Amino acid sequence: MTDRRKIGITSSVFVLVAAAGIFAVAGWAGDEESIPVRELPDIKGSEVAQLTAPPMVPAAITRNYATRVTVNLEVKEQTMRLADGVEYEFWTFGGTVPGSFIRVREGDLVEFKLINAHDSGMPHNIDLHAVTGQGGGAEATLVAPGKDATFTFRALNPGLYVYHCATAPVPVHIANGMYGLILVEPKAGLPKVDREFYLMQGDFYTTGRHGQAGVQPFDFQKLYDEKPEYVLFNGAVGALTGDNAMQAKVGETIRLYVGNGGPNLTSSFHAIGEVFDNVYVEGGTLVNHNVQTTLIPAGGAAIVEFRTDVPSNILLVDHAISRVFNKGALAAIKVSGKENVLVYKKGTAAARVVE
Amino acid sequence: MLRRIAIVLLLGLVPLTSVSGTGPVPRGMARIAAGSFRPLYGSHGPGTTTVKAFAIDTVAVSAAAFLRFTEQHPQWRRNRVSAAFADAQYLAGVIADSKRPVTNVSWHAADSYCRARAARLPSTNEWEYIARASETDRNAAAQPAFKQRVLELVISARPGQFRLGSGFRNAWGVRDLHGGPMEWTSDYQAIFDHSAHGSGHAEKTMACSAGTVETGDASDYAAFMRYAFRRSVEPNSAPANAGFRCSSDL
Repeated sequence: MTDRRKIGITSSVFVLVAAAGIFAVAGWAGDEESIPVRELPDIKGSEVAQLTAPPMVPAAITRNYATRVTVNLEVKEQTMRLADGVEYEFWTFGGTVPGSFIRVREGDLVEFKLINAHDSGMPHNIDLHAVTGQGGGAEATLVAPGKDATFTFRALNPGLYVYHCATAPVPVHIANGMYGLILVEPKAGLPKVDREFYLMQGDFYTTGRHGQAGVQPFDFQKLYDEKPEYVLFNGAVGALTGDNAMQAKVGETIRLYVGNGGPNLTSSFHAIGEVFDNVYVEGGTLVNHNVQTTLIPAGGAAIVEFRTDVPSNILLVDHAISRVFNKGALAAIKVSGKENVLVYKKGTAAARVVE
Repeated sequence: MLRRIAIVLLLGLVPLTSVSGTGPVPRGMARIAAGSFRPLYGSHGPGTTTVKAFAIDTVAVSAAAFLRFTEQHPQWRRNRVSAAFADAQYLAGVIADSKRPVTNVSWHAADSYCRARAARLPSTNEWEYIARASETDRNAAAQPAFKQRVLELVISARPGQFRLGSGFRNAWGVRDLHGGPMEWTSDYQAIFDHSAHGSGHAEKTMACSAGTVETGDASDYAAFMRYAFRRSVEPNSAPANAGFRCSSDL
């Protein structure tokens, strides 16, 4: 482990505010004056974050020290498929909904560059819930098309966090797909698993009814009334079903990073035919066990883990069930492998009963 | 005696009418009558903001017209302009097309163009005042269908493909306010002065979203987008999503 610098504690909130002000002007001061509130690990070396498009997740972090991580994320506005025959003008972080997955380690110094593509129509910014600092970065990153902006933050708290655009009118930017997840791995890392996936729920408000063909404009009144036409995992009907289903094998451990971009609905996240062995409640440090359905608030996340004991098609749903039948809130994990009739069998059980 | 009184009255009327804004309307502009309204930002308290009579271009400045200006004023050519007045995006990809609005122009360049025409950029309040007009109503701001239509136009705007005059002509006779490039205004940043530091911006944004005091209509999302554009740019920014039109006192 690295040497740690013990930093004096002050009880004066005023000093804190003043220090924050100095940082806002001078930028990150490195080994100069630091905010006297907590122990921070020294920074060794630097690296560029490898971002992934959903449902993939960057590889687990193996280093046991904090480093300077550069994140480059580009905002792109693009028309994409919402459902068969239905298109929508999405606003994205990195070209996908949800946006690129970002993985850093607790204590890392993150230099975050937000780029707005030159052909965008709108300014955008980013508020990462993992950030301790003004607006989660939103203040520092409001960028016009063709521009970029950088800010630096220390990943103080481990956990799974939502990021989203916070440019007015915020509800439209989020409803158009501007959200994603950033994982701050705890210093000790997360337990090793066989597979990790990334998905986010979001609600969409189109002028046309669900399934109505064509490029569908955003509908203000439906957003205001919180009555979406679509409730989706990863931004499209069928984004994670059929040929696009996530794949796993019997006997594997699976970890899902699940977020809810909203903008309005809370998710009753549930896996049909599977029980969550572990749920990192609200993406934090508290782990609950043997959970059937976990609530994921808008602007919140959860990490869920389970072992695949039998082959099946595990359906991931928002158990507010009309959203599955009528609005698209469905994803799937195809688990292949040998049957285990001691765990599940259609018909009469063959298991021997020991008297 | 009566005749003398009539002459005095007439003489009195002449300066009065010019003060109240009924002077001649410059060519290519539409006359906008004085009025008051409540803008999204910049109106303090529950009161409204008053706009004097003015004139404004019926369409935005074309790419061809702007490039002619740069020929007459070489300091505004792409290869000559100071970085302090226009960034690297200035006039990038702009060709002399009279059918398309100029984009990739900085506030400084737009301001200078209008001055060369003995005109000026419209104020933000003037721009927002006329932006409320539908084809038939000078004030359609309270009509949800109009707001939704404007919002769709703004979201689906393709500034690089927009053709001058292709947008709707509003009740003032002004075209293309919604659906084309965003447009520079003279005082686009002053609007935010009261919240230029610290958390003011975020608070204001969220407070506006919540429809609290000191805001206009929090359901006017297209207006939020215009103000977000204004907040995102510096006077030397020359983004591909913005052009301008000129206005004039009356």
